[in-house]
Amino acid sequence: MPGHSSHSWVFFYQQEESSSMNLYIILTELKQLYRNHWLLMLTSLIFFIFLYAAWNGNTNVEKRKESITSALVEMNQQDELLLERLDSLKEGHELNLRPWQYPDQPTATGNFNPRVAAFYPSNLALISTGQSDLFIHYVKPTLNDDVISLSFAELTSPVRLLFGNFDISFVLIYLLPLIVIAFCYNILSIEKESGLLRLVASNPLNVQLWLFQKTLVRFITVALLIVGALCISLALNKVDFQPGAWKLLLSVILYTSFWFALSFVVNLFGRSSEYNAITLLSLWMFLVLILPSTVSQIASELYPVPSRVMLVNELRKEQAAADKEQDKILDDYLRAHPEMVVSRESDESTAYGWWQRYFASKDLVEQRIEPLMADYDQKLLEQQMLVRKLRYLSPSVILQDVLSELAHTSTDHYLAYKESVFQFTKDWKSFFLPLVFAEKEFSSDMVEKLPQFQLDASSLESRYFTNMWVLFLYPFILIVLCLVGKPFSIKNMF
Amino acid sequence: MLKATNLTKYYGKHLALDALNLEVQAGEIFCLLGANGAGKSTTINLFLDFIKPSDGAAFIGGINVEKEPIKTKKLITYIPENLVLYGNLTGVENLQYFLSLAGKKLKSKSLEMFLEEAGLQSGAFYQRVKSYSKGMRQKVGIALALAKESKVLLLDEPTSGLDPKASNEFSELLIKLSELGVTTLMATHDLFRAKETGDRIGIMKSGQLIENMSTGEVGHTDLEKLYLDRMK
Amino acid sequence: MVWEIAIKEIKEITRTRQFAVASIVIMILMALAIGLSYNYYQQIQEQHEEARINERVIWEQQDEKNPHSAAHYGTYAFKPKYPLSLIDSGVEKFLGISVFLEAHNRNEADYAAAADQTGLSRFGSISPDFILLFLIPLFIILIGHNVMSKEYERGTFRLVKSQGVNMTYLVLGKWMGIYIPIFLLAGIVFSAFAICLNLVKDFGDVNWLAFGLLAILYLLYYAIFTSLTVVASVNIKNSGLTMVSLLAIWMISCLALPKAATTIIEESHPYPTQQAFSAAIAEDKAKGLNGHTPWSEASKKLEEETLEEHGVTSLEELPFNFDGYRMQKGEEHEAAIFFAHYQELKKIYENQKSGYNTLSIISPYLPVRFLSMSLANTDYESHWHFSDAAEKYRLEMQGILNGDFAEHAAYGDWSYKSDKSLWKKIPEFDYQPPGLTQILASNTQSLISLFAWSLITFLGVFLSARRI
Repeated sequence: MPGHSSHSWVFFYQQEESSSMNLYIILTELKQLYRNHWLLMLTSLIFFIFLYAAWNGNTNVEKRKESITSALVEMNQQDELLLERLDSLKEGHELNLRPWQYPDQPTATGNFNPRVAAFYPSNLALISTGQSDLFIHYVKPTLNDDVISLSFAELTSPVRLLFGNFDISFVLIYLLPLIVIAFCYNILSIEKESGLLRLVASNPLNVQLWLFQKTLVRFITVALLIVGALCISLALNKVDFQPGAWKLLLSVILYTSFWFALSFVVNLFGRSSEYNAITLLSLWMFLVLILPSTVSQIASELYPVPSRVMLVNELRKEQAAADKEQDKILDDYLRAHPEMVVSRESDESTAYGWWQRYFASKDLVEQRIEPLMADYDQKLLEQQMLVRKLRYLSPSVILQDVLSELAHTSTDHYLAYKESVFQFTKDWKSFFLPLVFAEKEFSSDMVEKLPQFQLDASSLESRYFTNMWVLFLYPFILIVLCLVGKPFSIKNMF
Repeated sequence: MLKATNLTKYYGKHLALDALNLEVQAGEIFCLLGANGAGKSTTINLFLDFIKPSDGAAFIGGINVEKEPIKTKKLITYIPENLVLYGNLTGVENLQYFLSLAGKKLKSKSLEMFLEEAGLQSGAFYQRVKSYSKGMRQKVGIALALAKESKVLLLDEPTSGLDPKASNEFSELLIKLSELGVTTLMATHDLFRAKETGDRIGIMKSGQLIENMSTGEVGHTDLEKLYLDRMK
Repeated sequence: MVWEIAIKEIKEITRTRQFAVASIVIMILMALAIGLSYNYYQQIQEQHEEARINERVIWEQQDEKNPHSAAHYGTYAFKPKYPLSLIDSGVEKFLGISVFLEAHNRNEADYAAAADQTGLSRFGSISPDFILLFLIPLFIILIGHNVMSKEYERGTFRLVKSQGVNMTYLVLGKWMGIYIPIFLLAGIVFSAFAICLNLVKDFGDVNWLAFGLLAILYLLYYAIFTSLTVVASVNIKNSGLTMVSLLAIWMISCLALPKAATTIIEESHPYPTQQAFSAAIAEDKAKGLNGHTPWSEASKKLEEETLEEHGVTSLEELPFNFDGYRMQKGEEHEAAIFFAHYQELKKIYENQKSGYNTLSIISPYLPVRFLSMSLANTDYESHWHFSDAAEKYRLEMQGILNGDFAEHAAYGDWSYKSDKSLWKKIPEFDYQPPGLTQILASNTQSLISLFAWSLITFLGVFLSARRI
C-alpha cells in the first residue's frame, strides 16, 4: 500500500507491560478445548492409534525373535548330535551315515552344522518396520555358500510390501501432522471469521504473541499426549527406556513443533479457515508424500543400480569360463554330484582332489563376481549418500531417517548385516578349508573354536544430532521470522 | 480526548477517508452518521490501529495511535456491530479473559458487579455465552468498558439489530457512562438514537465530514431532513 | 436443467485459483511420472531383451557335457515387462525378475528392485498410479468439498431454493459440475498414456481392451469420490468441516486402512518365513525319491518296479539308462512336492486377497488398487502365472535332458556326453501372460465391491437430495 510508514513489529520485546496475562490465556485456552470435546477426542484418537501401531510393530518384532530363537535351538540340537557322533567315532563306533556325512570330515561339518548368523531386533525395533519386511533376519552360511548363493530376500506378500505397515513410524510421519493440522488450521481464522479477533485486537496486546501463546498451549497439549501415548505404548511392549527411547521422544517433540509452527505461520497470513486448511494440506502432501518420493527417485535416477539381469549374465559367463578350465569328465560329474565323492572309499585322494578343485573354481568365480556384486552395494550406498544430503529438504525425511536409525531397520543396517554375513562366510571357510586341504579330520575339540557370527555395525555413523539440529531449526526459524518479521503484520486482516 | 488531524486513508487508489479533522471532548458522545462506505468504520478502525493512516494521525488522550498502539488501547473499549464472544465460556469467563488481555485481573465478585451494572440479569452470569442474545452480549461489552475503566468507547453500529427496548437500555448505559466521564465515538445509522443519545453529531459522505453539530441545535425531524439533504 | 446447473458449477469451479493451481500441479507431476516411468520401462525392456538373448547363447554354446551336468548348469527365465506397467507398476518392484531353472530345484524369482533401493523409496514414488490413485481423489475433494456448503454459507441457497428448483436436479447438476472437469482431466491423462504406449509398440502388443477397462476403472473410482464429496457437502453445512471429513475418508481408505489391513490379514493368514518354507520343502524331499540317492528306499522300490515291469533282473539289461530314468522320476516327484508347497503359499495369498476384498467394504481404494494392477499384469497373480510357466518349462527341459541321457547312455556310463545339438533342442522359454477373461475371473470379488461402491454412493447422492 502506498504511503505507509515502515512499522516494525517488535512488541515481542516490550511485553513486560502485560506479561501477567499469559497464565490466564493458557487456562482459558485449555478450558475451551475441554468444553469443545476436542481434548477428549484428541486423547482417544492419539492413544488408540499409538497403542495399535505399537502392538503391530511388536508383533513383527516378536516373530523375528521367535524365528531366530528356533533357529538357535535347532542349531544347538545339531551341535549336541555332532558332539555325540564325534565321540562315538572316537570310541571307534560305526555311524549310521553315508560316508560323506561323517562329521569328522570338515566338508560335512562345514556344510551340515552351519552357525546361525542372526540380526537381532534392537530395543526400539517396533517403532519402524523400515526394511525389515524385505529381508530375512538370520542366515546359515555353509561351506559351499558364497556372495552369490546367499540370498537375503524374505518371503513376504508383495501386497503387504506395497501397502506398507501401520507402525509407529507411519503414525508419526504421516498421521501426526494431520492431527496437528486438524487441530490448528483455524486457530486464528476462526476468531477472525467469528468477529472475535476485532475485539481481541482492540486490547493493548501484540496479536502475534497472543496467537503464539494460544498455539503454544495446543502444542504443549498435543506434545504431552503424544509423549504419554508413546511412553505407554513402549512400556506395554516392554521396551527398555534406554537413551534410545529418550532420543525418540525428543525427535517426536521437535517434529510436532514443526507442524505447529507451520500452522501458526499459515494462520498469520490472515486468510480464511478453508484457505488455511487447503494450504496446510498441500504442504503436508508436498512434504510427506511428494518430496520424499521425489528425493528417492532422484537418487535412483542419478545412481541407478545396474540391472540385476545383467549381473546374472555376467555370472553365467564367468561360470562358463571356470567350467571350461576343468575339462575332466569326472569333475563334470562330481560337480553335479558331490555326494558321490567320498563314497569311492578306495580312492580317497581323488575325492579330496575333487573338493580342492571344487573350492578353487568356486573361489575363482567368486573373485571375479565380487567386484560386480560390490558395485550394487556401492551404488546403493551412493543413493543413500544423496538421500542423506537431500533429507534436510523435508522434516518428514529427517524423521524417517531418525526412526529407522533408532530402530536399526535402515538400509544401512541391512547393508552392514549383509557385509558381516559375507565376512563371516569367509571366516567360516578359512576355518574349514585348511582342514580340507591338509586332509585333516574335524574333531570335537574344534566345536568350541568354530567361528562365531558378529554383527559389525562400526561402519554405521549416527546422524542423530545433526538431524535433531535441523529438526529444531525448522520450527525455530519459522517462528522467529513470524514474530519479528514484517511481512506477517496482523494489519492485513481488517 | 479523541482527536484526528488531517486523517487520511487510501485503499489502493480509493480514497476512503479524506483529511478528517475531528475532536471529541472528554465525556462527550459523538455520533457519526453517513451512508455505507462513507468512512465511518474506517475512522473507527484508524482509532483502533487496525489499519494504518495514509496521512495524518489519530490521537487518543493526546497519544498517537499509530506510534503507541499498546498505550492507546489501554484507554479504549471497542464494541463492534455484532459483538461475538467465546461461546463455550460463560459471561464472567469472557469478561475475565478480555480483561486479562488488557492486562487486568479482577475477582469474580467484582466481575459480577460490573455485569450487573451493565444491566445483565444475574441468572446469565454463569451461563455459556452460546445462549446469549445480541443485547446480552452488548451488555458484556459495556461491562468490559466499566471493568477496564476505559476512558474511550469506540462503537461501530452497536444498536443495529437490537429490539427497541434493548436499544433503549443500551443508550441509557451510554449516557450513564458519559456521566462518568467516558468519551464515546459511535458510528450509527439510527438517526433517532443519535439525536437521543449523542452530544454531537457528525455526518460523513465520501470520506469527508460534511456536518458537525451539537444535538441541541436540531430537532428530530430537522435532523432527518438535513441528513437526507446532505446525502443528495 | 441439470445441464445448466452443471455448466454454472463448472464455470464456478474452474474459475477458482485453487483449480488452476491444483490442475497445473497434477499435470506437471503426471508429465514427470510418465516420463520417468517411460524411461524406466524402456531401459528395463532393453536390458531384459539383451539378457534373454545372452542367456540363450550361453546355454547353446555349452561344451559337450553330460546332459545332467547341463541341467545343473541350468538357465534363466526372465520376467517380461508389460506395456501397461507404464500406467500401474503394481507390486513389480517387490518381486523378483529372474528365475534360475536348474535340476532338482524350483527357485523363487530373485532380485527384487526394492532390495536395491533406499529405505526412502518405501514412501512411494512419483508414478502414474500414485497420481491416479491418490492425488486425483484429493483433487476431487479440493474442488468439490464446498459445492453445496458454499451456497449455504453465502446465503445463495435460499435464493436458489426460492426458484422452485427440484433438489434432485440441483444435486445431480452439482455432481456433474465436479465430475465433468475430472472426466476431462482423466481423458487428457489417458490420452497421454495412449500416445506413450504407441511409442513403445516394439516391445509387445498393447492390450487395448485392458487399457480401455483401466480407463473405465479409474472413471468409476472418481465417480465414487465425486459422490462421496457431494454427499458430504450436502449434509455437512460447513465448508471447513466438509473438507476435514472428506480428507479423513481419503486418509483412511487410501493410506491407513490398507496399512492396517496388511497386519490384520497377516495375523489371520500368516505367510511363512523364507527359512520355514524351504525347511518344509527339504523335509518332504528327504522323505521321498531323490534322483541322486540310489540307496534311498524309494529308489530301491523304483528299481524293483522297473525291473519287474521290463522282465529283466539287472539294471544293465534295461533298454535304457536307469540313472537317467531314475533322475527323471525323481524330478517329477520333487516337482510334485514343490507344486504342493507353492500351492499352499498360493492358497495363503488367495485367503489374504479375499481378506482385502472383505475390507474393501470400508475402502473403495482397495478394489481399484487390485483391479488396476491386475489389468496392467503387474499384480501378484500375474507373477504366479509367470512363475508357474517357468516351472513348467523347467520340467520340460529336465525331461528332454534326462530323456537323452536315459536313451543314449549305457547304465553307469556317467562319462556320456551330449553336444550342442541337444542344447538347441530345448525350446526357448516363451511366456504368454494371462488373458483378460482370466484376469477378470480372478478378480470377481473386487469387481463386485467396486460396483457396489459406485451404486451405493450414487444412491447416497439421490437420498441426500431428498433430505435437503
